[in-house]
Amino acid sequence: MNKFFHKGFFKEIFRQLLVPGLICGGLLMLVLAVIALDSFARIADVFPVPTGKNMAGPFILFVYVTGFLFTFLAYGWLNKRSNSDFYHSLPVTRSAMYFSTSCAVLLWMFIGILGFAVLRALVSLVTGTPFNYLLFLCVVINMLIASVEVVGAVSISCALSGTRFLSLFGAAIVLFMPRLLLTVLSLFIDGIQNGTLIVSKLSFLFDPSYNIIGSPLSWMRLGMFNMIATDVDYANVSAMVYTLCYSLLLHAAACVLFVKRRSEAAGTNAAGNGFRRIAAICIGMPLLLVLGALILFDNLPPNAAFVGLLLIAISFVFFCLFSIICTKSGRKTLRDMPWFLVSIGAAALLVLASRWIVRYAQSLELAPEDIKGYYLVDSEDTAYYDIYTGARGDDYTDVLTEDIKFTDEESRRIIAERIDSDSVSASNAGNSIRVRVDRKHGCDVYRRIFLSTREYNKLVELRMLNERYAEICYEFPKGVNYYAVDNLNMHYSNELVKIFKDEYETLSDEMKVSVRTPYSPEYYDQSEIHSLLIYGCDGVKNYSRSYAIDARMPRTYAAYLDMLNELHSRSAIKALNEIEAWGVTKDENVSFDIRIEGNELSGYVSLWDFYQGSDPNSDDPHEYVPELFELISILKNAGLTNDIEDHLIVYTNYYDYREVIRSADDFGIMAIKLSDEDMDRVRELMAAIDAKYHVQETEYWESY
Amino acid sequence: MISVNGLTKRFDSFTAIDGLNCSIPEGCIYGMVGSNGAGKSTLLRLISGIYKPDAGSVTIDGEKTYENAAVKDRLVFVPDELYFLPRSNLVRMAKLYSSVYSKFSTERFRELVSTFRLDPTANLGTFSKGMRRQAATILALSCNADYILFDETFDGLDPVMRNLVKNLLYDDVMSRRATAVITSHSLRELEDTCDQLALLHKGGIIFESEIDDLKTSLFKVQVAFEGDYDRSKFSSIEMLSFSKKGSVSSLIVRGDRDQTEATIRAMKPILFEILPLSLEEVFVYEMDALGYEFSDVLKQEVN
Repeated sequence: MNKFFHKGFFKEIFRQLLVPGLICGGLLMLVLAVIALDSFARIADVFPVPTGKNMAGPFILFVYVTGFLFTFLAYGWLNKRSNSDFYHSLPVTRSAMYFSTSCAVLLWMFIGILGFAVLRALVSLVTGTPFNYLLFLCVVINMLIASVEVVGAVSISCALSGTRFLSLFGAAIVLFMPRLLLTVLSLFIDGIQNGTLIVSKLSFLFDPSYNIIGSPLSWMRLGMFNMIATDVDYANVSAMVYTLCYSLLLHAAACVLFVKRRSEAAGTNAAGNGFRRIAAICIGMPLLLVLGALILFDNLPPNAAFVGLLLIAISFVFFCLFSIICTKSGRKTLRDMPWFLVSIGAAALLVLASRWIVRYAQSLELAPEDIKGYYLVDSEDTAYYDIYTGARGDDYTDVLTEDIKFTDEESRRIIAERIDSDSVSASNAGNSIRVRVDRKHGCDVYRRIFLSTREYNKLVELRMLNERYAEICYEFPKGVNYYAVDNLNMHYSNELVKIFKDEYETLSDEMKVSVRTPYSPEYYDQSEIHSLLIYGCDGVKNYSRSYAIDARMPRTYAAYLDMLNELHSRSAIKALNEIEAWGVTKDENVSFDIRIEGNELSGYVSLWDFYQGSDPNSDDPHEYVPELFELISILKNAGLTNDIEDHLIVYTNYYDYREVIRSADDFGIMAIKLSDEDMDRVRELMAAIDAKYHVQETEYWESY
Repeated sequence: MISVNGLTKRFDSFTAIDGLNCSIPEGCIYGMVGSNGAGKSTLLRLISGIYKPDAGSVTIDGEKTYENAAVKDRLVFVPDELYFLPRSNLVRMAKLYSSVYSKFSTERFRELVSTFRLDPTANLGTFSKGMRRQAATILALSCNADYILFDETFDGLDPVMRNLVKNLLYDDVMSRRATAVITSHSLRELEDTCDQLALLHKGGIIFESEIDDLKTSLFKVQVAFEGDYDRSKFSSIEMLSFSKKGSVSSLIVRGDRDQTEATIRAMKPILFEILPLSLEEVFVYEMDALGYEFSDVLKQEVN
């Protein structure tokens, strides 16, 4: 009989969890069914490769729910004396009891996670929807580790407490409190410095990646605190190792506590007053931390003393409420009250610690010879997007160049000059980059450094001298790609990409950068850009890239126009015919849209956009019909074209409300060529229709 | 053999067991009697390795029981407050026991279920108190343990079932040389079951003896003589109690019955009779002899 594992007991606990295990597994399968249905519905669509965060969502929920539920169920006997006596009378050592129980709980969780993972991957495989299998594998490994962490934390609480109430609060505190305090500390640090320090990179402790299960606390990142947390990097092996070690430590602690636990503690607080007081201190802290933040950020309201006292009073009430619920004794609560001072002390300590950490981190000074080189950490553009979306920048170049180290002397000199604390005051310079500095001695340092325009451009220039960097900047994405071209289906998109890739290789380096959207400045203001969108992955990294399809790539563009006509011109003609018919019937259940884009060398210009909605209240709203008929007639009779320099693109959208399912034919596009004379007439007709329509529209609204 | 040496167990400020010593030999039925809070259940929990002693030790065949799975595999404990898995039946509980007890016999389990005439597939939650006790007994006896610890063994059982349990216990003790330790509030209950009896009071054993010795070494004599006499007439006999009404005296005597009879008959009594004592009476007189103010306590036990 093993001292640390009892096969029979393990089987018994596993059996006890059969019903909850099957229920939770069933719920997970429901989630899978939704994902599967969604995937089948989007089988012809191209969308971004799911990020680690996207893929981890159902898993994290499952891990939280089952981690708490299964562990509480497995250790439910600890909360009642007779039950506890029975289990402790069994011929199983406590250590074996602990590990057998943990293994049984984890096995159920692993079955759920792995079962879901295999089926989820199969769904993607069958539907062919964008998916990063390697990243998914990392997510699954992370979730397995996260399960170990949750079960460890809940087990600690079960071993320390003897009542359900304290067990639940205790588990949440053990699991989340360390990460919560670190996140608050991160918020404090971020709030009192000028964005120079990348807080999550100050230490692995501040990096949510290093505590997978606590990472959802990054929801605390609010607007101004955008630099606190990044999405969990599920492919970070050292984070996995860290979390695993942390989880095993939790289990070691839980096992020791479980072995030391007095059997007679069932139904009472097993750890006596200590655990309850620690929990109460934690309960009393959050509002005190808010007060700490107000003081720290010099953001005190006019009636600061009152607000401060109010926050302290509410915290104190929470503290006492928790204590009285746990002890059910006024005398014991009275004895607990002085411990509230520890809550205040801990909050004050966090405030002081944040100031000290910032001072210490900003005091770093480096000479060029202390630096081996630097890496780029997200580009400025992606940092900009971080603020609003919370997402990492995933442009192909940004993603693929993260691991390139720039070691030239000039770059090192600029970095060394700007990394010291003085550069904080240069934050108004506007040119900043986020870098990881590889030091000769000591670990890497992450900073946002602020540069003058000259320095900024110099660094860009020096980076382009790096062969690998330049290659990535100019190359067509080389990973597993999923292509989507505006208005084309998947088959035509793939066909067009073949032509695009061939032509792309013939472009100059400058042009290769120029055709990228939306970053090419001369096209930035356009509303209408036909583009090729690429979602892909290289190893565990997901990326995206977008290219404009226009006259700068003539072969691609001509092929694109041909494909548009081939795919959608019949629908466009059909829609125009139906609109003509509507002109006679004036059917009130019909709406339609005609949009005309003109092609100019600088890109597309929206020439005309006309919408007719169903209008049952108006007797004769269609005074513009004769002009519309003439316009349609010209458009219908114009020849289709792939002339990249001289064409119009006509979009039609016709919808009959009586049809339940919308037909693919309702939407039409065609590229047409008009004679100069027809073009002039079209312009006149568009203006005439607009004039009548708008007058009518104004009258219509004025009647209200 | 179960050896308990200087055993102490405290719950906060309350001392449940206070320096207790006893030894329970193999192959016997050892009864423990005592009032509420005397420490019977705590002692059983300490013997079965549920509680950790604050001082002293409990060993079974020289090995400590606490956190010793090998020793605990040889003993089974049926507590006063029974535990069954939620919504389980006997078959499910048997699975649990068979998972952890190496000597659990499914065959014996089936036999016992049929002997007790319980439905093994019925929800234990629907069982009466007595039926639950029967179920626990079936499970415990199916473990084929060397040491069987019963707390309030017969609580809730009807007379037929009490006899059945007793017989099963005898059978185990006789056939497998198992050792049973049982507790009860009722001396009468233990009287015809146990080989040895211990009386617990305030966390200690104040009296321990083999039942046969108790019953044979202590007896009541009723005797009458012509003419007046007093207690001094019996100075050659070890008496625990003497009372006289008229010419008839009642003596509680400790010693050899034949020798006592011979001594008294030599005094030419006009009436002489030796009467057996009930176990309660034996306990009362023994306690008196030990100097305990015990009559109230024992009355409580007897009742």
